Amino acid sequence: MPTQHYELLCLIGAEHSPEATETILHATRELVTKAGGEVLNTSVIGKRKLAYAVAKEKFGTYFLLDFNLDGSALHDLDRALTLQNDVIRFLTIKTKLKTAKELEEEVRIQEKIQARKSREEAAQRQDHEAEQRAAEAAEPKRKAEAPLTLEDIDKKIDEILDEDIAK
Amino acid sequence: MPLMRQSRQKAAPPPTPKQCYFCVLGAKTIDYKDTRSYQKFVSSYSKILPRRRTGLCMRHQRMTAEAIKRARFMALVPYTPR
Repeated sequence: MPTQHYELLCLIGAEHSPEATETILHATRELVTKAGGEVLNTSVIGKRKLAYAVAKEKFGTYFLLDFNLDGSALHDLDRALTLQNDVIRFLTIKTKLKTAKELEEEVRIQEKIQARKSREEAAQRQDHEAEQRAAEAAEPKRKAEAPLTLEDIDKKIDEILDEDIAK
Repeated sequence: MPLMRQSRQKAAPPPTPKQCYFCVLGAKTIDYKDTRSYQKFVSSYSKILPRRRTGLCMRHQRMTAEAIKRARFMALVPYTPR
């Protein structure tokens, strides 16, 4: 099987200290290299609250590995990861490495989107200004009301209640 | 009676955008780790919305669904609301 680019996300319990996380990350890295992979990049995403409890853990730390690996060795790696007790859950997905050409294309698209956005915004601003001018011409500016704070609301409620009781 | 029939009519579904959200952004891949990017395509019951509600193109709808399922497995987003 040809070499593929993979991305592995691992979840470990949050009780591990940052140093322990590093150790586990290192161990996982070793597993990948042992399976014949070439690790390109690793990163610790950090501690997060899990959407549901996994292995009775409500919080977890995620870390990510990017590597090249022969497709046939993936099964062995999966098995090795399952046997590692620290990693509660992991997911390997096939990803495509972006070529220089694709990156260029992406930048171009982003620029296009930005240009479109700024044009739309400019048009909107013009519309808005025109509207404002029309509104100002039609009627003089109203006094801006002071925003209601919670305390004000509480006070008013108290007043109303007092009135009710007085009656 | 025409009046009765009208009352029985279902409410019109919310209007869908004419263009696919991800096509407009020029997205080639949808990263399952970035939960915010597809949050709006999940209902309040944590269900993946159908295409008639999301207005996505077939390709991006599939990619979104895949990303949500992956994120669910990794406990990034819930399977069910609490």
